Amino acid sequence: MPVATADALVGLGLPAQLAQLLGGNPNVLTCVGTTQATTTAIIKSTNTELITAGGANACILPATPDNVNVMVPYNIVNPTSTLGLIFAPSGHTMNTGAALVLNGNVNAATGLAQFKSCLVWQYKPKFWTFILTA
Amino acid sequence: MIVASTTTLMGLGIAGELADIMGADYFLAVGTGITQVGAKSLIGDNAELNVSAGQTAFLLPVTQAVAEPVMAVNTSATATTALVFPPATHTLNGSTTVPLSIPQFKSAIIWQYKPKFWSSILSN
Repeated sequence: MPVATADALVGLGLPAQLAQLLGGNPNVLTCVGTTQATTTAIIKSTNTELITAGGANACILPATPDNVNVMVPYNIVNPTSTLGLIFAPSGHTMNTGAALVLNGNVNAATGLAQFKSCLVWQYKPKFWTFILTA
Repeated sequence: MIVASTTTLMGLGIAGELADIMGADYFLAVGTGITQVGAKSLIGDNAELNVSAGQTAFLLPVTQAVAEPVMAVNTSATATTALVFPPATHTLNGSTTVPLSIPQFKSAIIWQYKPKFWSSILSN
């Protein structure tokens, strides 16, 4: 979970690398494809807004560097009406065993609703979990 | 809110004590019993909970600082719910004895918002 934007932290004197770790500049990510294998939309910011559409609703969490990313929570929101599919990187495990589905819980099938958000983090190398809004 | 692992933060020049506050290191905890008394004490801020029938109880760390959250995930192989109790005399979500239930494959963030009073967010 970012504590501020990276830009703001740099402006307050933090070194850039540390500011990137602690902060999250807003990033709008247009999803690509519908599967882990076909998506090329890589989440790069801990403060990400997804843009989804039919046939283009998948994105993937960053694979590297594995250890640096452990316990870095990603704040992701989907303001669009199409389900957002958030995949773990290839070879990694999402806690549910499948993609995290925003705007429609993969576990409970809560239905389609806009403006769901989640925190996703790697609790140990290559293993991810999340908090999803109700 | 935890922002990274403690070791990563220290690697970027953050002093150890501060990195410990801002970061978290992984801890695998195996449930003990089913009640608050005798439950497995959690240490650290990043707990992977492993439970089995009759061994589902955990205790939040009494030494945890205010506003320093514990992030916990139940990754148990069976569909068994983890029970996370407040320390004795502490209150979690309004009760001194009722645990937070974390089902299999669910996560929670739990924090002490003022001394001896805890709250939580459980994933949908």
